[in-house]
Amino acid sequence: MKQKLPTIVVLITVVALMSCGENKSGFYDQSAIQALDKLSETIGNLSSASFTINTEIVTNDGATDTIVKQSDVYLSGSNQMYVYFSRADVRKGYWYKDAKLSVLDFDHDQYDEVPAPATIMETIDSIHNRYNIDFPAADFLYPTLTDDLMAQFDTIAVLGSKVIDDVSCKEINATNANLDVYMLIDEATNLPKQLEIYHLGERNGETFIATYSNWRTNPNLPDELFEFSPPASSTKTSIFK
Amino acid sequence: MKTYKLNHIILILVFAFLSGEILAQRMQHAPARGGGGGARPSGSINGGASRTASRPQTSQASKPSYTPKTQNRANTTASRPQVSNRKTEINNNRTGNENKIGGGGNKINIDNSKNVNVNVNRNVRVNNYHSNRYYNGHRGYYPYHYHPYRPYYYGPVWHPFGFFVATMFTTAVIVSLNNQPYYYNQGVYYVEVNNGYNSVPPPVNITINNLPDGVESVTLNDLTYYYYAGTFYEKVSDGFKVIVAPDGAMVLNIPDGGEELEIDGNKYVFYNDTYFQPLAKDGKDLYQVVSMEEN
Repeated sequence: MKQKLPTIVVLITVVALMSCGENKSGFYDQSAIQALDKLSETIGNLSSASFTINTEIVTNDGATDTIVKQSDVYLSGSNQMYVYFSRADVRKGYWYKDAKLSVLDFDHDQYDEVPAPATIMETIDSIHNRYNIDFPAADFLYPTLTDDLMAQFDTIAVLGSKVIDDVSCKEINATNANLDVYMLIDEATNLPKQLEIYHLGERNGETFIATYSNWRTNPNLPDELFEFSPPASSTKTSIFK
Repeated sequence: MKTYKLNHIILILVFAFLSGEILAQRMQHAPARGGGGGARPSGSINGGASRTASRPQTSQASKPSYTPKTQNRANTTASRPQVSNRKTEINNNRTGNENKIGGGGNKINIDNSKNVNVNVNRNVRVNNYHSNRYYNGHRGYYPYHYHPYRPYYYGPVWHPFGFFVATMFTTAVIVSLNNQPYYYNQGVYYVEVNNGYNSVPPPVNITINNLPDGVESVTLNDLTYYYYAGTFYEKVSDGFKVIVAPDGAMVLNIPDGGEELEIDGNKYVFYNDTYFQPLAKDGKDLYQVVSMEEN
């Protein structure tokens, strides 16, 4: 009996892993999957884009705290990005070009630069993993969005239509044991309009709402927008750490 | 010994699983590898959409039978940050624009990363109070959205401030304000100088009989204004009066002579003593008049 225990553990582990892999089953509404694919294709076909994201985050670390911030995002090709980020007491700019990521803290007049991978997506990934920085809109930028969602969520379904900021949106709900996510996609443009994430389980009460506006598709963005040169008065410090 | 081997296998299996599912951002994503796979359009911002061939089965049911899990879901959009008062840094050495109202005055360099020196006549910041006001049904200013300033060409008879002509146009008319005569011709105002005439900013409160060709009407909070080449007019009993740019008005074009300047990290066009904030609406690049407060 004692010797059989590891075998049982292996079997359980393998079954558990398989259930999280390609053979994962769940309720996946075909129209929701098609809408997500269309969104991915629309974003994938952009050679440049700019948009604004307003984000409201409720954290629940002992006491509930609400963080409100705004980001203006500019993307050009696969290797140029500029993000201007602001909240009540912080203003930062992120410039990514020529495999280099720079950040400027406007309020403290400090900057930092680090080598970065060759593409926007790899850079977003790398910075997230190394410095725990979430880039705005990153979820919708992943080219494997639909597959990622199907791998992570048990249910993905269209709930219907909803109007956000006078924009008619298709509302898609994705759920698993820990997250209840609502994605609102502009029905006219197939671009994201709002992302709502509600934590369940241990992190119940924490929420994340991001509203997208000012979408410009394939604008002619000047290269200078993505170039960073430190202001003469600024000092270099370790902002990325 | 056998137990050790099996535990070792378990460890390898778990590690292999985790290494393929590195988490990224708020929802979990597979790690990006050069930006997607499959067909990759040249120059795509994310390398082009990608999908696997073996997906879980989908259902054709248009609506699930379950109800969403979150009952107290926010029925709103994300709030916008209330930006605290910020001091504009004074630092600059650029000479003033003599043709501008205020004559250049103090010179400031507003913080930015590209050493773009700007020249305005005071330390300013956007008046945040206006986030509580409505403009044509929109609360507060439209969100800032940068687009490069491209001066609009108003035709051969329009001239920027400071333009000199030796002979006045035959089509010009004389209008006066506070005993100062001005020559008005197709939206441009001139004053007499030695041996000729210089164009000047339109004097506020001066009244003309006819608006120039190409004038646009601008509706703001149910009031109609007229806009031409950076100048706003309102209808009065005896013609059209030049007014201070109405806060919140949106226009399509700004003529040559504006300055793109950076305030609190955003770029504005400063022209005719007015700050224009770039925005995008309905696929068009527009500007909205914004009010600035002195620091």
